Amino acid sequence: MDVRSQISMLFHLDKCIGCHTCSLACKNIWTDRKGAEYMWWNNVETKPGTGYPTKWEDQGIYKGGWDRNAKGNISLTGSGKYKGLLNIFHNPHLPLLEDYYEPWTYKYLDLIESPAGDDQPTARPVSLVTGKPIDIKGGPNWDDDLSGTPEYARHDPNLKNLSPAEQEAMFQLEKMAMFYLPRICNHCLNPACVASCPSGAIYKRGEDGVVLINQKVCRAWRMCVTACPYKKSYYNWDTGKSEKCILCYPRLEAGLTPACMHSCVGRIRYLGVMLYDADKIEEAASAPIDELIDRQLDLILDPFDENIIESAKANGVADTTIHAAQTSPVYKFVKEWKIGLPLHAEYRTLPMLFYVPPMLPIMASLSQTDNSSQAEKLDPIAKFWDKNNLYDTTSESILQTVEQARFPVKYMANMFGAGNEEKVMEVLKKQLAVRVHRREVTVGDVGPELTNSTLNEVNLTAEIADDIYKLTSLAKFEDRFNIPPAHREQAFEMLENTGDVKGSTGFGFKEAPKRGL
Amino acid sequence: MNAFDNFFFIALPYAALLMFFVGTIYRYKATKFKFSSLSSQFLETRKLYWGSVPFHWGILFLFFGHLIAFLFPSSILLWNQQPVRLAILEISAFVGGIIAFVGIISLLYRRLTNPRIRKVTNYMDNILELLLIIQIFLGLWVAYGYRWGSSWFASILTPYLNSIFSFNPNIDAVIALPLVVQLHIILAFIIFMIIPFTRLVHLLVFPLSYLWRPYQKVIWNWNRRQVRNSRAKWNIHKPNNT
Amino acid sequence: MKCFVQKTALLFLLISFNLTSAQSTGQDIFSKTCFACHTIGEGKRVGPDLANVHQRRNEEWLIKFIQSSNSLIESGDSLAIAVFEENNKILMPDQPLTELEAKAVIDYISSNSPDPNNPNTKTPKQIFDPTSITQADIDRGKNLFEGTEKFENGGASCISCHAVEMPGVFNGGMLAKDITMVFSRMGAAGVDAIIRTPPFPAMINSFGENPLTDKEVKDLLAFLYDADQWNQTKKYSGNNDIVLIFAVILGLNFVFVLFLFKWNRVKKNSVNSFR
Repeated sequence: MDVRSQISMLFHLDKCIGCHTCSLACKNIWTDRKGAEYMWWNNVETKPGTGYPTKWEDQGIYKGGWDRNAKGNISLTGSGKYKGLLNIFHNPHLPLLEDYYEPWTYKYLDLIESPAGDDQPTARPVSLVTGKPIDIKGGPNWDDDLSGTPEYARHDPNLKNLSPAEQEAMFQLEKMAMFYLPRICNHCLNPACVASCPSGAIYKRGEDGVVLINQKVCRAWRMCVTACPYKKSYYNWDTGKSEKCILCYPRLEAGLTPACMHSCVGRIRYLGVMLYDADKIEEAASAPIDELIDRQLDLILDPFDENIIESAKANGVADTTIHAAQTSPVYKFVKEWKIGLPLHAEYRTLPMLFYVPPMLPIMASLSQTDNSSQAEKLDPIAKFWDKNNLYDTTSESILQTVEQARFPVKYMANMFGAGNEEKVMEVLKKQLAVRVHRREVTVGDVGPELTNSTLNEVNLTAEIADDIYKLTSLAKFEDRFNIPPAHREQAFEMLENTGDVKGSTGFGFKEAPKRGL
Repeated sequence: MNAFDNFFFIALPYAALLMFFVGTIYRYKATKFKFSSLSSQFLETRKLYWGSVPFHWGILFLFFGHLIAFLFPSSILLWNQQPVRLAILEISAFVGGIIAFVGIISLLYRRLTNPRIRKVTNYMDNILELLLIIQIFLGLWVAYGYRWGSSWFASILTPYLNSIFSFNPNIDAVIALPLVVQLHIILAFIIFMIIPFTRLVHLLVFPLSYLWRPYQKVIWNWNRRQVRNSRAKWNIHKPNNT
Repeated sequence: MKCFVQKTALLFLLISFNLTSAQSTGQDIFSKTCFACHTIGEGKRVGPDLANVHQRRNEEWLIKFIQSSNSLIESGDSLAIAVFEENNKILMPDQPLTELEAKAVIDYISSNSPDPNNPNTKTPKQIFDPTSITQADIDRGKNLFEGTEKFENGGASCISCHAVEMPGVFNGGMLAKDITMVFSRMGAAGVDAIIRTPPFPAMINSFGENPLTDKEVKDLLAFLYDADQWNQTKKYSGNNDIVLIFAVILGLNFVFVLFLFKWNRVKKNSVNSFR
């Protein structure tokens, strides 16, 4: 057993309001540079929608992630040792700048400096690549909140395997619903980007599992961009290096939360340590598709088990880290309560960012009522539609409502269950049971019998349900983020000895990226 | 003529060798961040395909052809024993030359006309691509006008290159060659000389080691076996991630 | 950096001068560069017999002629033109010799010239007798020429650089002279001497260290004689260069189809092209 620790994340989608504060925090710290303008290491997408880069989930186009062959072995879909080196002169699956968007700014000074004339001066958009005026064809979050549109939502790759009728139902104006999906690098256990890098520039840190790109070793073979199925490795066209989310490791090492998590308005983000068994990674990644999620969760070890603690210590995991694993909020969601699921487990990279799928509004059905008493209360001159129909949002069995959610469960299963509806259903029912329980506690109109039978059906007790409620709704900063110190005193310094370069280097590039003499 | 010959066929190769080695070591040590070629596929992919792919496969075939003729001249002579095999070799080399020529021309055209690519173009890129166009053109000329180069390379240029590398230069045979062949040789030395200062450095860092490294790469910033061992000696463990 | 480059270049220039100006003796030079075409008192080969040439011409003229007969002829020197005409208009290759080296050669010639009253020449019959050759000799000569049969002591085949235009002979090289009619131009003795002790650097590289055997030379002469005879009566028009060009075009088409095949699998457009 090779026990290692991983900084793991959980995003509670029910709480995401799609405000993009996380994206802006990240952008302002890391990607406001030349060549990185188009990058959003953290982005928030509207679902259903095509996302960023457009249709990133369609691996028929982008060829990311791992494939499993008939023998049960996995190989990289669009790169790898032979495919990668043979395609090194021209990567046939590389996303283009247009698949993201061409970054631009406006010539603001034109508003002030334009000579007097008959027309109002305008600030024309200019490309941040060429500096020439452009017509803006797309931008970050171009399809934000456009959940029913034919061009965007209906091209969502997650709609596969849904019948045309089901798809159509999702986009009718009355039934339309959407949710937000914030995404950062998943810091996978079986990262495809690391495996695809011919130079060996990308690596996973043993101590905390953060996946990083060594900018000095990266030589622009651009295979990681293809390999990452989440399209979270970006090519900087100015420096000729790939860049990706670094989980704000300088902040993490200092005990601070990553910027996106820190700034999260909806408090949807949780971050904590999980211990995992590195010896079983390959086995888990090559599991049959219906076992994938379970096998991935099996990798995560119980931090209270004596044997596991011993193995962890032998592997250099610090006591504080083990303690952080025992009190990790992510561990509670994912392992104890089992309501966190990985995004697109079928890509087989074993992502270590988990999502609590959102409880979408249930679908109302029409029922007959008598509206005559209402009509009598109205003023005689008021216009009254004699419509004895009512939108009925109740149902016989409380848990059945999940099946009537406005989103077909199949859609959610395509995202969070590797196509397995049972997985998603289980999580949604648990969440609903917690709500039923809390309604009984605070309002008291459900009745103890119905509450208990609901909880029993999903194997929850009233205590656990209260815990879930507390960590979901009331959690304070310290509850959501449990970051162990980086133990610099032992590593001396995680990356380089600052004393060696003190006074000689500063922020920014040590070396201008310009090529040639 | 004597001074010119000595300069181009004795002084130039040694200067090129010196510049290449000194330049490479210096640039690799001092400007490692830049030691790659700046890929522009992200900005433009269609024209790149029809430039980069034919150029690279063509030039690779020719480069290794020249290299084998230099290192194992007898193998080429053995292959060329049958006129049919000689023809096959020469024809495929000529095809390789043409696709490399077409490829490099379209690459330079793309570099000069696409506004995005101009933004990521360094003036050395243009110089290099121009030199390569001239060089491949001269090569095609030699192959067409002074044929069976695959055979006479072994008896004229291999001894010459050997004499250069054994520090006993003998240029008798080379100075008797036609001017086109001489220009091809001289330009080859010049291109070799400027490798460290152009985007050609990418061929020095071609990631062949990818073939035998394991797919996954984990780096420990501390020695995980010793970090919790109070008896272990204290040391600064620096990760090897270069 | 620029200054550095200039200095190194200068340095190498100086070194390279010293390397080649290492003095060779007259004998060395003569046996390396002159002997193929000239004898001293053994009769005419490609060029004239040089016995006692120092008495016939003045030294200054000789040095000029050795260094560049070509430019001397072009300058209209009547004596040089006469020599050129006398020797079947075969130009003597310019020799990259310094004045000192040329003098050394002349000294060597003068000291080795025999008594003019006692000539001692090989008869052409001894070198090559057209009546005694067989078809087998010609065929073997052709094989040696094309390279299908290797020279016993190694060395590149003739076809690498030379062409002989005749039916059944593969397209020859074009780096060096077309030797279809070499027999008429130089005669058996000249061809024989060039093959045995080549004066051209490229041929020295190939055969200087590993000379052809006597039988190989004889067979090659037989083949060349045969080619010469054939060409004196007929003109070879079956130039199959067109086949080579056609093959190149075919190859290009094949490669193009490969690239097209791959092109089909390339992601060519943005997924956002509908915008």
